[in-house]
Order: sequence, then structure tokens, then C-alpha cells
Amino acid sequence: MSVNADLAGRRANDSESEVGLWVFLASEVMFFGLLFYGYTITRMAHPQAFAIASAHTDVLLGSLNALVIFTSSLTVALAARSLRLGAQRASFWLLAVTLTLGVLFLAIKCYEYYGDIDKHLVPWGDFALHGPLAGGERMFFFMYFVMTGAHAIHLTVGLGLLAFMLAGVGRGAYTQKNTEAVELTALYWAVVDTVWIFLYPILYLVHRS
Amino acid sequence: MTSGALRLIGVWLAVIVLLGVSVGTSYIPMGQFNSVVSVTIAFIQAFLVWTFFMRLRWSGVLVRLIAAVGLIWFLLLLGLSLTDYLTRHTVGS
Repeated sequence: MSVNADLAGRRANDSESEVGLWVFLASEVMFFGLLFYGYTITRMAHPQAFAIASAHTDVLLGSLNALVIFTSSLTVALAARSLRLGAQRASFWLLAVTLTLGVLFLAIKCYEYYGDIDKHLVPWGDFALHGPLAGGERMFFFMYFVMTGAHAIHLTVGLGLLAFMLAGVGRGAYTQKNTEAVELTALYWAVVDTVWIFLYPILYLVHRS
Repeated sequence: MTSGALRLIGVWLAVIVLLGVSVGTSYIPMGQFNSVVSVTIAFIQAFLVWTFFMRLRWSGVLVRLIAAVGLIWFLLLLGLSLTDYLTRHTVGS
């Protein structure tokens, strides 16, 4: 089922569902784009407060999670590739590893949130930072919780999809002849990874020197 | 292990090395330039992920177009909105 079979020059291999998913992914760029835009203008209004507040995030856990999720987008890409090549068993285990890494990410994030709450960094509670820049620092942590929260929700949806794919490949519903669902799940997961690629430097690395 | 799988592993390695560079340079005092470096690295990492893990390198015209339009529209909206915020102090004051 090729949408653009008549367009010369490139391999015309976009399936209809692939095109549909990419339109959805472009809309996700808009969704997270809005959050990144909100971050940009609040940071422009409070540059120093953002620098100070960012130093209160847990850079070790944030970096560890970057490592975990970057690796999971490799394993999911390899899982889709294995299925395309007919290696169902390899695909199954690579999906299992991806799912495990996703759960690990969420566990680390929850542990990190626990620490943030413990250090009174929740902006709508008894906020720990009291200096003259406290208003801007609250704004930073507001953006931090909203952006990482939106990311965590997307990641949780991805975990559900991965579990579904894992079961499907396990019982032989998805094979070399029927790879589409696994391929689309891999695309979605890569976008969840991409969001963390951008969240990581703007939340954890603003001012470390 | 086929060359295709090795290529994906190579891309992953590049993304991880860039992560290390990003963390490392953030501890070198460069002022505003710190954020320029770390966000530029993020764009390179995202480019690698979208090109190889999301297979844009092997996609047809339509999918590439949609991916590009998503990014271009975001940059347009960001850029045009910033023309407001960046000029508030200069206009009418």
C-alpha cells in the first residue's frame, strides 16, 4: 500500500499507517513545542533564577535516565529490525529489554520526584528557595514538573504499547509478514526518547559550572 | 550481527558520547555559551535518532516532508512569537 508510488527518486515505501503516525508525531512536536516555548519565554524573563533553580535538580539521576532512555531507543529500533528480518525470538527479547528500560526510567524518575518533594522543590507547596528570585525559581520548577510530567505520561503510554507488542510477538501475532504495529510502536518510542534529549540539557544543565 | 545492526549500535554510541560531551562541557564555565553547546548537541542527537532509529534515511518523500513540516512549523511559531517577547522593552518605552 504505497501512498506515493509515483514520486520518483526515492524508494516509495511509506505505508498509509506510517504516514498517519508521522502526522501524529508532527502534532506531538507542536504539543511539546508549546511547552518548550513556555520554557523559553519564562527563562528569558528570569535568566538568573533559572540558572540557580536548575542547579537544584538531580543531575546524576537525570543523566542516568538519559542513558537508560537513549539505550532503550536503540533496543526498540533493533527489535523492529529483527522482526523485519524474521528473527522473532530476537525481536521478543529486544522488546522485553526496551520495556524493562522504560520501567527503570519511570522508577528512577519517581525516586527523583520523591527527592524533589523531600527538598521542598514543588512550586505550589512550601517552597524551599526564599531569596529575591524565588518567583522565577518557582517558575522553573513549575516548568520542570509540567514538562517531565507530560513526558512521563507519554512514556507510560509507550510502556502499554510495548507490553502489547511483546505479547503479540510472543504469541506469533506479529511476524515478518506483519511488522507494522511493532514498527509504529518503535517510532512512537523514539519520539518519547527525543523529548528527553531536549528536556535533559534545558532542565539539568542550565548552570553547573 | 549484520552491518545494519552494527550501524544502529554505532549511532547509539555516538548519542551516548554526545551525552558525555554535553555533561562534561556544562561544568566548564562558558556563561551563556554553555546552553548554546548543550542545546546544539541535543539537536545533533535528535537528528541521529530521527535519521537512523526512526528510519527517515530510508523513508519516502511523504514521511520526510511531514517530519520536516513538523519542525519548520514549530520554528516558525517560536520565531514569530519571540518577535513579540524580544521587542517588548524597545517598543513604546
